[in-house]
Amino acid sequence: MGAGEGTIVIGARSRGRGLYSTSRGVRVALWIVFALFSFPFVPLVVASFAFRWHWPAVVPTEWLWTARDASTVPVGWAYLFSRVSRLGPAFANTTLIGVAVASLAVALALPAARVIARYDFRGKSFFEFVFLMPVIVPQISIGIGTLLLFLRLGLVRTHVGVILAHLVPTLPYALRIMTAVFQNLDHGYEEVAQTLGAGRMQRFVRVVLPLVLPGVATAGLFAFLISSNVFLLTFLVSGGRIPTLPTMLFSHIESGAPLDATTAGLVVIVSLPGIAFLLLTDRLTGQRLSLASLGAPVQPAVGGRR
Amino acid sequence: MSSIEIDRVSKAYDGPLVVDSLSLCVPSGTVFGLLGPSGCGKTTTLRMIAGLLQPDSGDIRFDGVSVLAVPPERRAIGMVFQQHLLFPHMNVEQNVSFGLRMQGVRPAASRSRVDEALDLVRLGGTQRRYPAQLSGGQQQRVALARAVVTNPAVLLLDEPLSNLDTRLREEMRALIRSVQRRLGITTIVVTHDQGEAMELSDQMAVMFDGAIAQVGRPAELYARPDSARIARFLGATNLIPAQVVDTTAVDLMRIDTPFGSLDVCPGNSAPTTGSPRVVASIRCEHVAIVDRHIDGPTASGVSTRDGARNIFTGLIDDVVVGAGRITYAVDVRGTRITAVEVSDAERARGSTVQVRLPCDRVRLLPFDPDLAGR
Repeated sequence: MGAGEGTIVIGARSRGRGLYSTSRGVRVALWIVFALFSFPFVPLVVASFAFRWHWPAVVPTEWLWTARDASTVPVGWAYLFSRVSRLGPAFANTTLIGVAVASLAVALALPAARVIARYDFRGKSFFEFVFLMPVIVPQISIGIGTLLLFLRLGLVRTHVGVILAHLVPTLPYALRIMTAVFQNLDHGYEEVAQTLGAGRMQRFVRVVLPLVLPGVATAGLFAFLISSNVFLLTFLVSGGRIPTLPTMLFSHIESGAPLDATTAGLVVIVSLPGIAFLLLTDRLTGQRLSLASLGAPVQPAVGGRR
Repeated sequence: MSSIEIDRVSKAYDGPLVVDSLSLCVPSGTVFGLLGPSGCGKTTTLRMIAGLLQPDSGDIRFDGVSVLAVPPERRAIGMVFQQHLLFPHMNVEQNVSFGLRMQGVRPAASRSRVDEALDLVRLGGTQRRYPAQLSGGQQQRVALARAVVTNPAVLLLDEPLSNLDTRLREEMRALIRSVQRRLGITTIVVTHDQGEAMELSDQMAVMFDGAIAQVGRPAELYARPDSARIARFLGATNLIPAQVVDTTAVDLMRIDTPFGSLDVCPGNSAPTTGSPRVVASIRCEHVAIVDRHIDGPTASGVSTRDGARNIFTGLIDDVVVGAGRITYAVDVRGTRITAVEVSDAERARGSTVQVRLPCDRVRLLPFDPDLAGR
């Protein structure tokens, strides 16, 4: 490595209008990180188009499109997109459950986070601990417990049951994020709105909600991502009757062929709702998303969207 | 425009009283300054007037009617805080029109009122900008426009200038005065800056430890403080422990100080001065410095009778040159007298000078063991 290469020189090669511009070293580092993160996806995508791909070969020995005509049943993407695969219902279930879980988690976390961030009350730390429990306790324990409870309540094998079960691992995250957002929200905004004649509801709708929106989006995104990845809880509570992308994926892996084109394609599809949701929330809230999720003070999107 | 009466209001936040049986009366249309060091309860008082805090006891009346049961959103107040607190997700126009929208004013009608309010704070044309695109001074001016656009009966300013730099602060003071005069709103301004309080207020109160120490017109408070603490809080002053020795003369009173006896005008004593032990206070800018070689008081243009008294010889110990004014610390027989001269002719450190403490400028205050001699 030559001298100066890889060193971060703030201000060198000023490009954008930012206070600190990125030097070449920073950009190289960013690309390396990007490559590390995206690396596992590359073979997956390739595999989803491969018919035969045995070990020492760097590229598949036989591609899907050459094998397609020889096969009597649809394989790979063709299979996934055929009615036989039941991918459609699984995708719909995952999205539907995910959206419902995200909305519920946010709706429940919002008032709770506000209270935790703003007020001190007896047993506050105990409550905070309880709210964090689901993250600490193994999911199998939660799953069995939930199953026993839901059997009594008749919630097993229902969408409602699955959604409620998914709230267990998602709520702690939503609560955490929202608490940080409320801790960073200056109470003065509400007071000033109050002196300007805004009642409780108007203060919430016109002042608080727009200011915590990035946090709400982040919390919703996390809830959605977790929900769309949950296998165990879904499997237990749905009794295998409500197919989602993770349960479908697991049944594929279970059936023996760990990385045939179909499974690889399914894995790619499993990650789609999350990416779509991320892009959506990012668009909705502009650059504020990442800032809010880090617990930084809520910043307005200056000059951005008007 | 409402008059405001605060009647024996007390407030504690789980602990000692922050505001202790405080009473105040602010006539309609005037500016009242609430001045005190941080933690004296002035902001708590203001927040109780706004309704953001509920007093533990006592009553607050606007125009003679108790407002304790009225929540802040219906008290017809405008408030400006230390931070501008402009809603970051709204542009200037939306911020200023917020109060109007809450009152149900139609957008068409509100637009012209917003324009008017922005013109008032000299920010016409910034309607489409976002708070983050404005400078600190502009942000605080928008906050002022937002507070007055609804024509509130009462305007409450909580340290409105303390986040601005010196030059902006002066501009903003002038602006607040002009806006208040134009609109005639009863205004209460809370501040820890005595200059700010004095310049802004018609009447002001100095607050210490949750209670009002003295109320009056700013100039009156400055010239005739009731205690050494007030005297010092309102501006640079020399506090000299003294003993009253002779009260027989009709026109002059004699006091003993560590550096000699002083003649003072008898009318200039705080009402509570009972014992002969007192603190003599003389503002730094009232201490005259006379070069030793200029003999005869006529040189400084004062009458012989008065000018001949209270002259002491001292040594310049320290010189601090400020903008257009020079501060001297003069050692007079072991007592440090601070004198401020509006001048740019600097006297040398170590030179011997004479200081004159004009009889009518020396105010006698009750003895205060914490402050005497400082």
